[in-house]
Amino acid sequence: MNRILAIALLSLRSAVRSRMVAVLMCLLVGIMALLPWVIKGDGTISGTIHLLLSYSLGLATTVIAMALLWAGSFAVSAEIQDKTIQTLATKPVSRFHLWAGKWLGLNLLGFLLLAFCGIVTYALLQAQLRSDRWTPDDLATVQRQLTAHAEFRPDQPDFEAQARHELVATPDRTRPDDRSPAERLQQRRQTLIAEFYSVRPLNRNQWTFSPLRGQTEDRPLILRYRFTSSVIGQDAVSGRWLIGTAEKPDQFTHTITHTPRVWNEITVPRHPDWSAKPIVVTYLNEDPGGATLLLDMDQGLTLLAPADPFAVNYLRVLLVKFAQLSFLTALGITAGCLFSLPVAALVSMYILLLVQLGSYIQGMATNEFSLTSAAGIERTTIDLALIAIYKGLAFLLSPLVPGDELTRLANGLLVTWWSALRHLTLQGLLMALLLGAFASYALNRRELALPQS
Amino acid sequence: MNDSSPALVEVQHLSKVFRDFWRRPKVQAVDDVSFSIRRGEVFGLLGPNGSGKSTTIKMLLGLLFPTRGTIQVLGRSPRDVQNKRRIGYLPEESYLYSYLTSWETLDFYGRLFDLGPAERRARIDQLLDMIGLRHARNRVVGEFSKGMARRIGLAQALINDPDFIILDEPTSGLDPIGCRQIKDLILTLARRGKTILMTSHLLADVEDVCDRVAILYNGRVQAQGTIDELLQEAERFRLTLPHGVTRAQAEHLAAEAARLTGIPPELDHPRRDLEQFFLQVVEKARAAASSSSGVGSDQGVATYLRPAETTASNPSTPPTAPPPEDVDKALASLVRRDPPE
Repeated sequence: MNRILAIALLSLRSAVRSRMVAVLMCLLVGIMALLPWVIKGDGTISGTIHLLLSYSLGLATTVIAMALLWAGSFAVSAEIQDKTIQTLATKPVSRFHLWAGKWLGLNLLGFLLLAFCGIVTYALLQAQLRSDRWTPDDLATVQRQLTAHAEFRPDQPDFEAQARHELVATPDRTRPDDRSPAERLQQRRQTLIAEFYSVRPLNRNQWTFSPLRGQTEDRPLILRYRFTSSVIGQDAVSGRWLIGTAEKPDQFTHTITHTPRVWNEITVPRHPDWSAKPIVVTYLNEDPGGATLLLDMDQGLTLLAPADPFAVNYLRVLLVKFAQLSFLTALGITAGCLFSLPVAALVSMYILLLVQLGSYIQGMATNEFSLTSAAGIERTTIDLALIAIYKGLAFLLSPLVPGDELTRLANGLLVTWWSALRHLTLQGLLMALLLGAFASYALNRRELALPQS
Repeated sequence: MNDSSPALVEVQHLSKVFRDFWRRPKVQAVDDVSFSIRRGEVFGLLGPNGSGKSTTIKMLLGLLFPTRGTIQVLGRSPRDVQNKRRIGYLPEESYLYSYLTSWETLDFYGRLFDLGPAERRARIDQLLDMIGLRHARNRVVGEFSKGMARRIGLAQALINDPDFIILDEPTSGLDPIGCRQIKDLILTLARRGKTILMTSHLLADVEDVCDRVAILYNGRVQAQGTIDELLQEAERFRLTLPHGVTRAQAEHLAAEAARLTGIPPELDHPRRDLEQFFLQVVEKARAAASSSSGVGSDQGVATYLRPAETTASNPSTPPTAPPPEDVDKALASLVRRDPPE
C-alpha cells in the first residue's frame, strides 16, 4: 500500500506542478460563475436553480471528466515516453501497483476538483436563495424543488404477456398482414402501453400505486405528470383527478384545467390509509373539446413523497459523479498502458466522442425498429448486424454515459443512498479495478524500454 | 571476491532482436551472449555505442524480454518483482521526474522500498551529503546540470542498500572529480561485498575498478576475462627504476640489456596519470577557494553504505572527507566484506 500511495502522491504532484490543476480551477470557476449569466434562463428562481445544477455543475463535471481521461491516458504512456518508467519499473513495484497508484492519485485529484465545484455551486445556490430578486412566494415554490422526493410509479401490467395472450386468443384475420410475428407482438405491446397511459374524452382511466410503506413523513404528496393532447394546438385540457384507495377512490379530488407538454404538479394531502393500502389514482377526462389525454409513457405519471433535505441529495449526486469520474480515469490510464503516448491520447479522444454519443447509441440499441427502413419489411443481414453492433456498443458504453442525476437533483427527485453506493462500488471501484487488472496484465507483457523510433 | 564465489547473475546464450510494427526483424542488438557475475565482483561490460551493453542490462532488469536465451538474477527471473528489493539501477541517462526536488526524488524511491520515515530521512541526508548536493535538496531536478542529475540518479540507485548494483555508464556527464568519486564509491561498495555490473566506453574507468570485463561488439562477446588476463602481455617485460637513478645509469642498464638480448630496449620517462594530476591541481585550488561549482564538497560514503562497525560509534555525525590521495587507504580501513551467504 505504501508503494501505491507513493505513486499516487507522485501523480498528484505531477498534476499540480504542471499547472494542470491551476488552469482547470480557472476554467471551472469561469464555467460555474459565468455560465448562469451567459445562458438566458426563464427568469424564475426554479429556472435559475436548473441552470446552476444541470448546466453549470453538469458542464463543470464534464470538463473534469475530460481532464481526468486525458491525464489518465498520459499517466503511464508519458512515463514510458520520458523513460522515467525505466527507473520506476526496476523498483519492487508490480505493474498493478503502478496502475493503482496512478488511478488513486488522479482519483484524489478528481475528488478535490469535484468537491471544489460542489462547494462553489452550493455557495452560488445559497446566494441566489438569499437574493432580493425573489418574492416570498417564489421562495416557497422553490422549497418543493429543493427537497428530495422519492418517486412512485404506477404498477404496470406485464404488457409483453398481455400482448402475446391477445395475439394468440384473438388473431386479427380481417386484413392481410405481412408483418412478422415479432413485429406484430411489438406493435401490440406499444398499443397496450399507450392505452394504459391515455384517457379518452368523457372517459376515465385508473392507475394503482403500491402502498407508501416505510414513509414516516406526513408532508403532502405531489402528483406529477406531463401529457400531450390529441387535439393539435390545444393549450388547455380540463379534467378531474381522484385519489384514494380501491374502496374509497375519491379521498382526494381535484378539478383542473392543465397545460400539455409541461410538468404539472398537484399537491395531495397525505391520507393515513395510503401507507397500508394501494393508492388508486383516477383521471376523469371532462374536456369539452373532446381531446384524448396522452400521458408521457416513460415518466408521465408519478407520485412524489418528500424524503430528504437538498444537501443530502446533493452529496449523493456528487458521489455518483465521483464514481463516473473514477471509472473514466481508470479507462484513460488503461488506454495509456496499452498504447504509446500519441495513440493513447487519440484513444482518449475517441472514448470522449463515444461518451458524448452514448445516449444516441443507447437509444438506437433500445429502439431497434428505427434501424430498419420501415416496419413490416424483413430485416436484412446488414440490419441485423447493425442491431448487434449497436447493442454491443450500448452495453460497453453503459458505465460511461452520464446519468440524469443532476437533472433529478434539479427537479427535486431523490437519488438514493443505494444508487450512490451502487455507482461507487460497481462503477467507481469494481469495474475500475477490472480495468486495472487488464491493464497490469497488458503492461506485464509489454517491453518498457523499447527503442523509440 | 574469489573464483569460487557463487554466481549472482547467469546469462546463457542471450539474444535480442528488435522488431518493427509488423513483427519483422529490424535489429539484432544482442547475439548469443553468455557470462556470469560472481557475488562481490565488479563486472564491466565494455563496448562502443550500439554494441548491446544497455540492451543486455535492460534484459537483466526485465525491462526488455530476451528473444532467446536465459537470464537468472539473484537466482530468479529478472521479472520477479520481489527480487528488485535487492537491486539498484542507474540508467544510462538519469530518468528522473523533473518536477520533484532532489529530496522528494529520493523520498519517493525510498517509499517504494517500504523504508520507514526515520530511516528514509537518515538515508536521504547521508546520500545527499555523499553526492555533495545537500545544498540543493530543495531544488527541482529539472533545473540540474547533467552531472548533478547523474548524482541524484546514483543516489536513488543506492537508497535501498542493494546487493546487486547495475550502473549504466555511471561516469557519463561527470567531471573528473565526480568520476573519481564514483569510482571510489564502486570500490567501497565492492569491498563491502556488493556485486556491481557497470558499462562504459571509457576504458580507463573500467580498468580502475573492474575485476572482470566482457567486451561486446555488434551484440556479441568478443573477449572476456579479468583485467590482467586481457591486458597483460606475457611475452614482454617492463623494468621500472627507482627514484635517484641517473640518466647515465639508466642508459648503461639499457646498453647492458641490449647486449644480453640482442634487442635494444626503449628508454623513456614514466608519465603521471592525467586524472591523478588533475585531481591534485583541483584539490590545491579547492583549498584556496571554498567553493567553485554547483556540486558542493562531498562528505564521503553514506554511513549506511559502510560496514556497521565503522558507524556504530556516532552514526549521526557525517564523516569528514579524506584527502583524495588517502581515499583508498581511508576506505580500506572503513570497509569490510560481507560474509558470503
